[in-house]
Amino acid sequence: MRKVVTISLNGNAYQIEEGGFDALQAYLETANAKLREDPDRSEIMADLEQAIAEKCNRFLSAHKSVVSAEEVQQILTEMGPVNGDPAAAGAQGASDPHHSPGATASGASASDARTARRLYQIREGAVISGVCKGIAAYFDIDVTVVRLIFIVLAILTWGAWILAYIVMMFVIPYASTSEEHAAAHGQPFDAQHLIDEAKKQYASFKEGARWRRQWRTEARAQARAWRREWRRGRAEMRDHMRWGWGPPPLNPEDTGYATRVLMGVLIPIAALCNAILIIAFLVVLAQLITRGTVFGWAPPVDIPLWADIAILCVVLSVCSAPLRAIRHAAYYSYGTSANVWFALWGSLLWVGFVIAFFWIAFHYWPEVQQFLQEIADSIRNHRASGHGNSIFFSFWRIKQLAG
Amino acid sequence: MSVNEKFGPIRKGLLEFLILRIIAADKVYVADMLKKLAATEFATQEGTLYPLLSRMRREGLLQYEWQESDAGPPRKYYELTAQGRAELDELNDYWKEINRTIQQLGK
Repeated sequence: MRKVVTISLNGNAYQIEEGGFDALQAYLETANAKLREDPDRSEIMADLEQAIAEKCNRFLSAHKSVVSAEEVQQILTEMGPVNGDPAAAGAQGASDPHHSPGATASGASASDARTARRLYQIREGAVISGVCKGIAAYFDIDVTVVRLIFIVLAILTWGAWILAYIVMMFVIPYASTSEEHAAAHGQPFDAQHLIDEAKKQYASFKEGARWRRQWRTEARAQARAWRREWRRGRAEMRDHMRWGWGPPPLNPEDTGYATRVLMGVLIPIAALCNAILIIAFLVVLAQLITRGTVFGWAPPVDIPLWADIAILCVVLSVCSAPLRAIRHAAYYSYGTSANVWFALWGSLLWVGFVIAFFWIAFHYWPEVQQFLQEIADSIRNHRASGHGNSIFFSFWRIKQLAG
Repeated sequence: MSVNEKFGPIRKGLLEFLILRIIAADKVYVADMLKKLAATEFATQEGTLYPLLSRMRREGLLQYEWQESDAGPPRKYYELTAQGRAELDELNDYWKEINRTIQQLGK
């Protein structure tokens, strides 16, 4: 649902979505400012309004009475920036009539002078380094598509594409200035374009603020519902002598949409954090057993090895407690029928992350191979001296299988 | 700097000449002018054209008259004044001269 604003263009009423109205107002204000010196300013403004009105008519029909924000944007792109008449404004000749952003819809030919596109890395909103974002901007496609293609390529090339990505990270320059950002998108760089962009960003910021507000309200209601359920659940448990973890699950209908979306996002993030913790735990454990040190730091001598391992386990469980809480909250918010599947999906995800890490590390990281070799050697020594140990044995098996 | 960029100022300067030519051929409305130009390397937009037309009218090169249209409010149809025609003849001659010069140089 979007708010609609009724406007009058050169004497005719049009209904326009709020976002479109903001863009239109910005365009007309800029045009008015640019034509300050022009003696025919009011007439030109009327002409521009008339032209916009006619373009609006193109999008309206008997069953469509509102011009959408996207359509207004398209109309304004077709209109092009109002540069004022260079001759009237004192013949500085600064403005180029062909230097207009995205003049495609009005049938501008490809020879229309646009800033040359260049491939840049775009840091803003990047996942790793911004290579995918840069490529997406260059080809004017959605960044998710590029990322998916990269992932598929990485799988098909057995990880070699990851190396290609790293090479691109170093080779492709970063877009650091506004001109470079414009060139990354193939848009001309001019002040008017910047104003438009700022307006657009402000509009999306407002949209975001509204969403956040709505989410906060929903989250508060959610917290209240949880507390209520929790109290009822505790009472039920007392009544029926039911034992188990946590309050009884909610119905999915009780959970707000935004909360569920947030939880859907949190599950993979929690899984990734969990995987990192587990990897760190395993690495520290292995170092402790084989070398007696943790990244070069020797624990105080008087603590025996079993105590070190016990401390490590305590540290791990303390560190993973918040993650566990997040996961449980996430599964819980999905209600009874779904939470089993989400718990399974979360667990599979972190197991997958751990396995992927070890697989990649083993194949592309000589230190890891060397490290595992070391473990295997120490196992052999242990076995030779009659101190067979199941953990060591399993490491040795892994080495055997891989080697 | 691409050829396209190098000729940017020249295209800009020629826009007025082309508009005179288009208007001379027939009484036209701005959307028609844009449509005619869109297919060429002189593609332009309302934002540029309206201020230019307004200046040309002030200089007495063209005038417009309102005509009723069946699809909406009345439209401005542009036509050349006597002064505009004179200017167009001059520009046509000058353009032929320039072309001849370009052809002859380097022969």
